[in-house]
Amino acid sequence: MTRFIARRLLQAIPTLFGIMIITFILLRVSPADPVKLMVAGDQEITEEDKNRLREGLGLNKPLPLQFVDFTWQAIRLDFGNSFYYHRPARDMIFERIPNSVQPVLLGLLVGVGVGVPLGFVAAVSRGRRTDHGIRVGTVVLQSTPDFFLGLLMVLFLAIQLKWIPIGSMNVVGEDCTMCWDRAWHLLGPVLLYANGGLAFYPRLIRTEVLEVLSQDFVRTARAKGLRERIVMFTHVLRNALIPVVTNFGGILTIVFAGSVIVERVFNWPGLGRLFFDGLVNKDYPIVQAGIIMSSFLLLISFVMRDITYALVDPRIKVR
Amino acid sequence: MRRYLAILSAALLTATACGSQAPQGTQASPAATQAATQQGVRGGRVVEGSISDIKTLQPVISTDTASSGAWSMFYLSLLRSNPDTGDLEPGLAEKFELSKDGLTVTYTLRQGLVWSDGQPFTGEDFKYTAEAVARSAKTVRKSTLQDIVGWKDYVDGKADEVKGIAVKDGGRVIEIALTKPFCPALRNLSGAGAGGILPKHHFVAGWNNKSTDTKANIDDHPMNMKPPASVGPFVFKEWKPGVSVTMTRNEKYYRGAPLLDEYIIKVYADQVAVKAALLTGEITYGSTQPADVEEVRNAGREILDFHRFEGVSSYTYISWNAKATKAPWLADKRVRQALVYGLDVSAIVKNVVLGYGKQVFTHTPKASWAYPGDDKVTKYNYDPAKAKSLLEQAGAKMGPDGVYRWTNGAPMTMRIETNQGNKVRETIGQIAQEQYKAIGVKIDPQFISFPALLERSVPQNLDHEGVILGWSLGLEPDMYSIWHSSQSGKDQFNWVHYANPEVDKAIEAGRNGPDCSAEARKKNYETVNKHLSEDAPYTFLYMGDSLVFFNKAVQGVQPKVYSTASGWNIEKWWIKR
Repeated sequence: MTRFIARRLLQAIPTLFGIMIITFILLRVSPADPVKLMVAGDQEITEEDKNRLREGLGLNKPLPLQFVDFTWQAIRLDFGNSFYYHRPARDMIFERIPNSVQPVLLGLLVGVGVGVPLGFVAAVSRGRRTDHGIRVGTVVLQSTPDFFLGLLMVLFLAIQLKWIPIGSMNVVGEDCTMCWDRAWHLLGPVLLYANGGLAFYPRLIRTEVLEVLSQDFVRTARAKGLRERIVMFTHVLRNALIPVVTNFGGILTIVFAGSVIVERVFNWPGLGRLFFDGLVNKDYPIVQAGIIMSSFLLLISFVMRDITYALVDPRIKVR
Repeated sequence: MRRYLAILSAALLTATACGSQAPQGTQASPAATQAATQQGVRGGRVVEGSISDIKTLQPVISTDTASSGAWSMFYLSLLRSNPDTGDLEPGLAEKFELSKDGLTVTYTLRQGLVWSDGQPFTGEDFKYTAEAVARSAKTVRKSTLQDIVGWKDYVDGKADEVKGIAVKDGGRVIEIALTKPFCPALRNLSGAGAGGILPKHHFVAGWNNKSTDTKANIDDHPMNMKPPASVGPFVFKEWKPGVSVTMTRNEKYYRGAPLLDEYIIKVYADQVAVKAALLTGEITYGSTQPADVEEVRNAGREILDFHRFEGVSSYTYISWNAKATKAPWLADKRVRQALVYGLDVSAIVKNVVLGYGKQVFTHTPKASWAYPGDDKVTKYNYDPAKAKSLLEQAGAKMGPDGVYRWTNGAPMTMRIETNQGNKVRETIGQIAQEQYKAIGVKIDPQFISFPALLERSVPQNLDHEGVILGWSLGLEPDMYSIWHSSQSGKDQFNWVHYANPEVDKAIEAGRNGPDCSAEARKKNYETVNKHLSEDAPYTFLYMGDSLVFFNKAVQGVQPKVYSTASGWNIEKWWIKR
C-alpha cells in the first residue's frame, strides 16, 4: 500500500510540472504585459518608470529564466508577490479560502441533502404527480443560468422583499463567521451554489433507484418478506448512492471551488473573484499559485479516490 | 520670488469672469445646500461604496484610484487643489514658491502640524518619503523626482541622502534644488513623489537606507497594510482585505477634527452591487453610471440625494494615426477636420451617455485654470456637407460606390478599434461607422480585448487608423507625454504621431519655463489647445460627468469638480439623526 501511494505521488510530479509549463506559457502569450495594463491611460507615468517596475517585478528577464525562478519558488511553496497588492500570493489565497469554502460546502450539503431525497421520492412515486412535479422543477433549475437566477434573487428576495441581504459576508461593521448575521448573509450564495445539486441529484438518484429496483436482489429481499422500508433504505438507496460517491472524486478541490458568478452576484470576497481579477489584470503570481494549488489538490484527491476504491472493492488490487 | 496665493486668486477671478465655464453642482438638493450652512453635530459614519478592490495603503507602490482613495485619508501632499479650478492651494504647507530661475522650490509648513500619534510632522518626513521612492523597486513614480539635485547619486547608491532636498528651520522649511527649471515642480514635488507623505518615525524601523531589496525597503513593509499614523482627516482602524477599510476621526487634523466618527470604504464587485447597496441604504455614498442614474433616482427618491458635476478627470476620443500605412489621408489636417465635422458628437453625448457629459474640442478640461476660454479653441458642429467639401479640398474624389477615393486612388476605408465589452465605446464605434458612411468614408469597427488594444495603440505600430480610448488627466496641465513630437518612441503615448513645432515649443515652455508663472503657462497652454482643436489629431468626444449619490442623512457635502475622492471639506460632513 505504501509503495502504491508513493508511486502515485511520484507520478503526480511530472503532471504538475506540465501544468506549470502550460499555465506559465498561456499567461504570457496573450497581448500586453501586466505593467502596461496596470497603468493604462495614465500619461504621467513614463516608459522609463514602467521599465523600472518591469525590472522590479522580474518581468524584464528572458522567459526561460522567469520560468526557472517560478519553479524554484514553487518548490519552496512560495509563489511570489502579487503585482498589484505587493503581498505574497499564497497569503492572499489562504486568507480567502475560508470565505469560499463556507458557502460552497453548505451549498453542496443542501444540494445533496435535498436533491437525493427528492430523487428517491420521484423514483418511488414514478409516473405520479409528485414525480412530474420534481422533474419539471429540476429541468427549470437546470436550464436557468446561475448569474440570471442570482440576479433575480437579489432583485426580488433582497431589494424588494428584503428577506436576504443584497450581498457581502456581514453587515458593515460586523465581522464574524459563525453567527446569525453570517447565516443570514449566507442564504443567497448557499442557495445559488445548491442550485446545481438540486437540479442534478434528483434525476441521477431517480434513474439509479429505478434501476436498482429492477434488480434480482431486490426481488429476493421482498420475497424473503423483508419490510418495505428496509428493502428501500438498506438495499435500494445504499446501492443507488454509489454514483454520488464517485461524484465526490475531486472533493478536495472544493477548497478552490468559489465561483466568480456567485461571488459577483452576492459580492462575496472569495477565491473566484480573486482568480478572475488576477486573470483579467494579468497578476501572474495569483493565477499561477491558484492553478498549481488546485491542481495539486485534484491530484491528491484522485490518489485518495483510488485508494478508497481499492479498500471498498476487493476486486481492485493494489499493486 | 512670487507668491502662488496671488496667482490663485487671479485664476479664480478668471474662472468666474468666464461665467459659463464656472463648474456647478447642477442638481444638488436644496436640503444639502442648506445643511452646509447649518451647524453640524458630531457622530455617525459614512460608508462609501468602491467598485474596485483596495490593493495597498502605501502611496509609494500604489497605482490605482481605489487604493489612493483610501490612503489619501491618512497621508497628504503638502498642497491642496482648489476644488473649483484645480489650481494649487496651501495645505500642510502654508507657503510655497518656485524661485524666478525655476531652480528652487520652497515649501513652508504650517506651525504646529502633528501626526495623529502626537509626533510633529516635519520636512524630515518629506525627505524620507522621497528617499523611500528612490529605493523602491516597485514604484512607478521615480521620474517625478528625477530633476532634483543629487537624485541620481542617491538612486545609484553613491550618496547617503538626496543632497538637493534641504530641511531647514527646525523642519518647517523644505528647500528643493532642481537641475533644470520644471514648471510642474511645485505640484509634482508636493507629494514627495509618492503623492502622500509617510510618517518617517514609524517607517524608518527596519529600513535600510542603502538597500533596494524589497524586504529592507518600503515595498514589503508590514505597515503598507496598516498605516501607523495619519496627518489627514481620518486615522486607520482596520482593513479587511477584499471587504473594507475602516477609519476613525483624527482629532489632530489641521483643518479641524471631522464631525464623523467613522469613515468606511466598502468594496463591491461591480456597479450593479453598488447600485443595490445605495438603494437599500447599506452604503451612504457611491457613484453610478449614466445608464443607472434614472433608476436610482426614482427608486431611491426617499433616501438619496443626487449630485451631478462636470467631470475633469478623463475624456474619451477617437485618435487618428497620422502615419497609418493603410490610411495615408489621415496625415492631412483637412481630412481629420472632416472627420470631426462628420460625427455628431452632441448626439453621442445625448444618446450614448444620456446627456451626462460635455462635448470637448481639446485636451485641457474647461474647468481647469489652464483652459484658454471657449473663444480660443476651434469648435465644430455636426456638418456633413462641410465634411465632404473638406475631403474634396484635400483631393479626394467620390467613387461610384459612394466612398471617396484618395489621391492615390485607394478607397477611403479604415478601421476604428476599441475595447470589447465597453458598451459606450462600442456604440460610438457603430455610430461613427454609420455617420462617416454619409460623408463617403467607410469604417470597419473592430472590438478587441483591452490588452490587445493597448498593444496595438503604440507609435511603433503603424497598422492602425482610428482608436476609441480615454485619457485620465492629472491635476497638472502639462501634456508633454501625449502631444510633444518627441513622444512617438516605442510604447510612448503620441501614437498618432502628432507633430506641430509651435505646439512643441509651447509645451516645452509650459514645462521648463523659463517663465513658470501661471500667466505665462496659461498663455502656453492656450497655444497648445488652439492648435490641438484646429489640427484635430483626435476627434475629441466628451468628458463624462461625475454622478454621485449621498444618503439624505449625510449633510454638509458640497461636491466640486476638482474635489478628489477624499472630499475637499470632508471634515465638515455630518450625519443628521
